[in-house]
Amino acid sequence: MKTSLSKQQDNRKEIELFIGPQHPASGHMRFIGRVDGDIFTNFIPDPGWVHRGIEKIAENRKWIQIIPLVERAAILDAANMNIGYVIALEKLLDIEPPPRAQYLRTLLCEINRITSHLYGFGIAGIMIGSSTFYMWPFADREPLIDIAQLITGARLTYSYMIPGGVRRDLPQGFKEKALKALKYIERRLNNDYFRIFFDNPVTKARYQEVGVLKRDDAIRLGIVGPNLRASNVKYDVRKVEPYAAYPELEFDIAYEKEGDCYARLLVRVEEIRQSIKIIRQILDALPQGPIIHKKYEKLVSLRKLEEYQKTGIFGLPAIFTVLRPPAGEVISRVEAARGELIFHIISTGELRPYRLRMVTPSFRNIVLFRELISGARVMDFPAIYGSIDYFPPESDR
Amino acid sequence: MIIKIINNFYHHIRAILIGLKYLLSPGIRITLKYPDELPILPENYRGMLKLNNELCISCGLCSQICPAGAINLKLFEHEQTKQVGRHPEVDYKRCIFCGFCIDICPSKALELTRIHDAAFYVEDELYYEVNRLIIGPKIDPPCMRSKYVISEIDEVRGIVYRNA
Repeated sequence: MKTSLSKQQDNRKEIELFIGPQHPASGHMRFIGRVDGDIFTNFIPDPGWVHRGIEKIAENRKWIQIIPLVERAAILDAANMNIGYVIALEKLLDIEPPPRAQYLRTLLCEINRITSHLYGFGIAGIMIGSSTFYMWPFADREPLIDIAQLITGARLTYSYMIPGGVRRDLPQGFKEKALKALKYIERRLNNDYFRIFFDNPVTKARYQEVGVLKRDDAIRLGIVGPNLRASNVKYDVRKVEPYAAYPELEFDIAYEKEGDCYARLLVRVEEIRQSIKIIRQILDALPQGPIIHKKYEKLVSLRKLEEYQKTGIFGLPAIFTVLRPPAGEVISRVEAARGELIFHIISTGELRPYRLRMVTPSFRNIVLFRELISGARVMDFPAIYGSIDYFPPESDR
Repeated sequence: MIIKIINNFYHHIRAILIGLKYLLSPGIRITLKYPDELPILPENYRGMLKLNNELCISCGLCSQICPAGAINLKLFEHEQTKQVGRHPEVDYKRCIFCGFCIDICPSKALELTRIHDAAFYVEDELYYEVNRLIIGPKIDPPCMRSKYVISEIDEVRGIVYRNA
């Protein structure tokens, strides 16, 4: 990929332009572009500056200890990373969580999807110079982070889902608080955000008909998530291969036809609306019952069991420290906020996995930089980068 | 063409007006003025740890499950009760506040505190020996005029902070 660095510059008209690696936008990432006047003739993303080796570290961790580890791939999207790994582990262990746990998992995933998209809006806003729209979505994440904190006890790194269920039940008075937060975010999204940013002529001038990704190209390149759906492809893992409580919930796949930067933003707006719809359904139709698989409920101490019945906080059974799933190979697919997330785990029946492969959505979307920005103007680069919602730590893992 | 210009003008004005509305209306701040205002966190918040050494059965599960390797066991004799056991010590340089140790403790010897400000003047203070873990974390308010507030979710303003 780095051939253009060493190539002799015979064509004096073109110059090389380096962007990054010191935080060009939402993380550490370097781009190497060749510029002819105002136009990028070649544009190469150079990732790997925040590589932490999560896949290798996972080979030296016990199965249960990997839960906080995989969350670190995308700290804003921790619940979706968590559910992907836990579903794979449950396939190995051959257990199915009870319905209430499935609903609680879905609830947290959707809250996380909203906060992740709001973060993306903020970054997109500041990249094209709208500092108001940087502050507003970041501030409006706060009520949602607060309700996630009520469920899990942490603001961002929840580690909420464990094999067989979830760690805690909802606290008292949660529903009213959650409905208030949803009402607030809905009003802000439908009125204020559209007025200040999405309907703003400046935004439209910067975003419309810029960085167009055609339908065929999107499919050929294997793009995932909102970026794919903005190019008129109705593909969502929640519908294609339903997991958790999604088969029982009603929602539509958000999609747009144009495939430009503006369409990519609007898809995320529609996804937030659908997430709000899903959360309302969950709060109304939350089934009663246990939050953890029967097998594990019997394994905790009596004192812990009392606490579970009283407060809804289930401990962890001691068997989790020596968890040995049977030998085998599993794949799990979930729809994270930025797209499809795949876990491929090989177990040899030991305390630790033999191999853990994690294919994150940003990793699959990185090719968009080369496709969309080659041929674009220099000032279109921030607009395109912001609209892709690329998150370097998630891609580098 | 003219329709487009008028339309653009209308949307420009709308954007400016909504910006002005939030600029001029008082009390719409959503952020916490941290050192001046300290939040009272919800009851089940996963903060720093506290040890009840009388309940600890020295099983070592907390140290076995810790994903960050922050918990070590140490032989400890209590000064007054002369009770001896292998009790956990926590290194807050490594702790990621996942709360697995509290959840797995079979005798409920480890407890949650709602304190999360793990900031100290000396680096060594981040290592909590058994003695200090029994007392639990105590953080002085960062400045003299600090006051405690409770955050509440509000339909109109997102989050409001009330004095506790």
